[in-house]
Amino acid sequence: MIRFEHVTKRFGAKAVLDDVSFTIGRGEIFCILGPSGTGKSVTLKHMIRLLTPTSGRVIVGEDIVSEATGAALSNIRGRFGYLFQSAALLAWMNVYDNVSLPLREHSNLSEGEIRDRVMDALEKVGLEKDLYAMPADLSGGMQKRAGLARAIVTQPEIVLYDEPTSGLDPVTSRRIDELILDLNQRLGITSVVVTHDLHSALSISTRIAMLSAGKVASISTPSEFIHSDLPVARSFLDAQYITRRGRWEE
Amino acid sequence: MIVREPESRPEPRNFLEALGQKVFTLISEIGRASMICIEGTLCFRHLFRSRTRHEVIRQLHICAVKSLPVVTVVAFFIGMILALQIGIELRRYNQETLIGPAVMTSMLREMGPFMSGLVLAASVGAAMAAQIGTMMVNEEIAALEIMDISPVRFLVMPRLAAMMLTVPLLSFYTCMVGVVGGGLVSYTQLSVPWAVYWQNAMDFANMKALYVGLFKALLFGFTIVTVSCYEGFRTRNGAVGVGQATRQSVVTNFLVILVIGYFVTRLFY
Amino acid sequence: MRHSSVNRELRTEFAVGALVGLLFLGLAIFTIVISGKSFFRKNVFEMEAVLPDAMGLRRNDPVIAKGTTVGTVKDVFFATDGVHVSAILEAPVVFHEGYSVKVVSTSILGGRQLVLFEGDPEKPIVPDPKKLIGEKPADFMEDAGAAVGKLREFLDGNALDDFSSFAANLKVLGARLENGEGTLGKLLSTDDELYTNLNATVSNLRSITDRLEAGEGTLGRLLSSDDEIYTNLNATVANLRSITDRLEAGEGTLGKLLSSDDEIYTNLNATVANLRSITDRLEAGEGTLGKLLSSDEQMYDNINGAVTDVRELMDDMREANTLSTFTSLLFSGF
Repeated sequence: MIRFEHVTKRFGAKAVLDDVSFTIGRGEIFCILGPSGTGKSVTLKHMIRLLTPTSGRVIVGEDIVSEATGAALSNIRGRFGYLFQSAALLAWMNVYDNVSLPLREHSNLSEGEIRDRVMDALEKVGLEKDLYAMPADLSGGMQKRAGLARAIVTQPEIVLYDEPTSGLDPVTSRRIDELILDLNQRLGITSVVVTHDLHSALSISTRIAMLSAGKVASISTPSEFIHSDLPVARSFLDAQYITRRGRWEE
Repeated sequence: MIVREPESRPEPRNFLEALGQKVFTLISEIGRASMICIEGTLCFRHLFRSRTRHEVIRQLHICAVKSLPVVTVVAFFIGMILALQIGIELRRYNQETLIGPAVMTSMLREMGPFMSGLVLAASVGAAMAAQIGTMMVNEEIAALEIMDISPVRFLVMPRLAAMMLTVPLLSFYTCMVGVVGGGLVSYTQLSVPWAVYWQNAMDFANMKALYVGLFKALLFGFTIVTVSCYEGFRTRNGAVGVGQATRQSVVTNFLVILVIGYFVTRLFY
Repeated sequence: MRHSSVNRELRTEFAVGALVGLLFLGLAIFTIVISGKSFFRKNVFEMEAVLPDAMGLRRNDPVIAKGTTVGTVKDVFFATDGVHVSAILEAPVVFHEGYSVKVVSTSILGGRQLVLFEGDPEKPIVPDPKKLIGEKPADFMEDAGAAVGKLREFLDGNALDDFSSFAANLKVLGARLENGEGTLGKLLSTDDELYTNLNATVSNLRSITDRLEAGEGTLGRLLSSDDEIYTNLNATVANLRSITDRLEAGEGTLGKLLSSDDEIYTNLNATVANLRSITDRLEAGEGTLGKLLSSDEQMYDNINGAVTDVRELMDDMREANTLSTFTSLLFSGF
C-alpha cells in the first residue's frame, strides 16, 4: 500500500532520513517508534508529500507520491486522513465546521448528508455534544479527538496519526487506541501511527518500525519487538518498564 | 510557495558570493510573494461560493469594521496637523482660506491612501502575518494542504478581496475625516469659517486626485495581504518565528507602501 | 450555542454591510459633487464660445456673470479656429451685441474662470449662444510682466541720471536749509522773532476772521447770508453786460469811442493837446479860471458860498425837474 524506496531527506547538511526503505501492507496498523529527532514525523510527512525526499521514492498504491503534482497529488491526498500532533483545528471555526470542512470542500453532499457524516464521526470520538464549541474552549484531548473526527470524516483508505496519545490522560489514550483498532477492524483502514507511547504501539500495531538516527533499525511485530536485543529498542523498553513499574506481558 | 524546509546554500567564500546569494534570495522571495498574489487573484473565481463569501465578510469585519476606530483617530489628527502646519505658513501671507484646498488635495492624493495603508499594514497586516504564522507553526496550513484545500485560496483570497475593498474605502474615509479635522483646526485656531474652508476644499477636489488615490490604496491592499501572508507562510521556529514574521511583515509593508506610493505618484503626476 | 453563533454571524454581516454601504454612498456622492454634476438640477442652459487662448481653463472651472457664479465649464477642446469652451449655465444668461467672453485668473496664485459680460440690453440679442466669440484672456502675470517691462524701459533711459541729479540738488538744498539760508531756511531756523511775528499775524487774522464770521464790516456783510447785496450785484452785472454788449456793438458815444474810427481819435488828440495848453495856463494862474485855481483863500470862500447857494437851489429844482434840466443848467454856467 505504502512503499518507501531508499528515501533520503536532508535539511541542509543534516540527513534526517538516510536511505529508508519499508513497505506497509493494506489494512495494517503500522507503528513508527524512535527517540525524538530521529525522523518519525518527517517519514509521515513524506507519505502525503508535505515534504519531498532529497532522493528515493515514496509510492502509495500505484502512485509515486514524491513526484505527483496537481490533480494527481490531490487524488492521492484524498485517500488520506491525518491526525496532527497538535490537532491543527482551525481556530476561528467551531468543532462542527472544522470536521465538516473537507466534506464541504470536496464533496457534493447535501447539508443533511454532511451533518449525518459529521455526527457519525463525532460520536465515534465522543464529541457529539460539543459540536459547536470553539477549539480554544476544548481541552487538549478533546481537540485531538476533534482532529481525529476530521481525519476520518471523509472515510479515507489510510489514516496517518502523529503522536495521537501524547499529552493525554491514560483513559483518553486508551479510548484513542480503541478507536484506531475499531476503524481498522470495521472499515479496513490502513493506519500509520507515529508515537513514543510504547504501550499504545504494542497494543494496537500489527508491525513496529524502530527508527534510529534517520535509519530504520528494525521492523518487527510487537512480540518480536519486546524480545529485541537491539540496544535502541531495549532502552526504549527499559524506559517504559521503569515508568510503568512492571514488565510488559504478552 | 509555502516553505517548510530551511533553505540550504553553500557557505559563501567571499563578499561577492555573499552578495550574490542575498540578491538571489531577495529575487526568490519577491517571486514567491508575487506567486501568492497572482494565485490569490486567480482564485477570485471562487469568490461567490457560499463558504468563501462568508469568509470574505468575516475578513471585511476584521479589516474594515474593527480598524475603523484607529483609522478615524489617525485620520482626524493627520488632518488637524496638516491644517495647522499649512495654516501657520499661509497666515504669513494672509491666505488662510487656502487651508481647505491644501488639506483636501494632500489627503486625496497622498495622505489618505498612505495613512490608511500604513494603519492597516500595522494592524491588519501584522495580525494576518501572526495568524498565518501561528497556523504554520500549529500545522493548520499543513492540515489544509492534506485536506487538499489550497491555503492560498482558503486564506489569501478572502483577505485579498476584503483588503482590495477595504483599503480604498478606508482611504476615502481617511480623506474625509482628515478634511473634517482640518476644518476644525481652521475654524478654532485660524479663524477660517467652516463654510469657506469646505467650499474652497471642495472647489479644489478633483477626480484625478480621487481616482489616483483610490488606485494607490488598491495597490496597497494587494501589497499588505501579499507581504503579510508571505511572511506568515514562511514562519518557522514556533512563537519566536511568529514574532519575527509579524515584525518583518510590518517593516516590509511600510517600505513597499512608500516605494509603490512614490512610483504611482510619479506615474500620474 | 448554535443560536449565538448565528447571531454573531448576522451581526458581523450587518456591520460590514452598513460600513461598506455607507462608504460607497459617501464615495459616490463625493464623486458626483466634485465632478460638478447634479441630478437635481433643473433649467440648465448651454453656451459655447471660441477663444483665441484658453489660458489653462479646465473642466469644472466656474463661469462668472455679473460677479456671481452662474455655471461651470463643461468641456475645453482645441480646434483649428481656436479653443472651444462649452459651459453649463444654471442661470438664463442672455447675450446682446457687444457681449464679451474671456478667461481671467481667479487669483495671482492660479485658478481660472470664464467671465461673461452680457452686452448692452438695448442692443439686439445674439441669436445663437453656442457660437460666441471670446476675447484674449486677461492674465495677471502677463499684465505684471508688461508693467515690469515698461518700468525697465523707463529705467533704461536717462531716468536714473535725472534721478541722481535730483538727489544731488536735494542734498545741496538740504544743506542750505540746515544752515538757515534763504526764506525757507530762516523759517526752519531757531530764530523766535519770526515765530512771534507770525503768531501775532495769525492772531490778528483770527480776530479779522472772527469779525467776518460775525458779519461785521463791509466784507463781513458781503460774506454774510444776506442775499440783498447779491441780488443787487447780480442786477448790476446784468446791466454791465448789457452796457458792454452795446459798447461792443459800437452803440452810444462810448461805443463809438471804442470803435476803430480814427476820426474821433484825431479830434480827441487835438483836444487833449489843447487841454494841455489850457491846463498849463491854469497852472500858471493865467486867466479867470487860473485865478480861480490859485491859492487865493478869499476867492475860495466866495466861490464856496456861491456853490453852496447853487447847491441848495439845485436841490430844490431837482425835486421838481428832470436830470437833463439839471445838467443843462450846470453846464450852461460855464
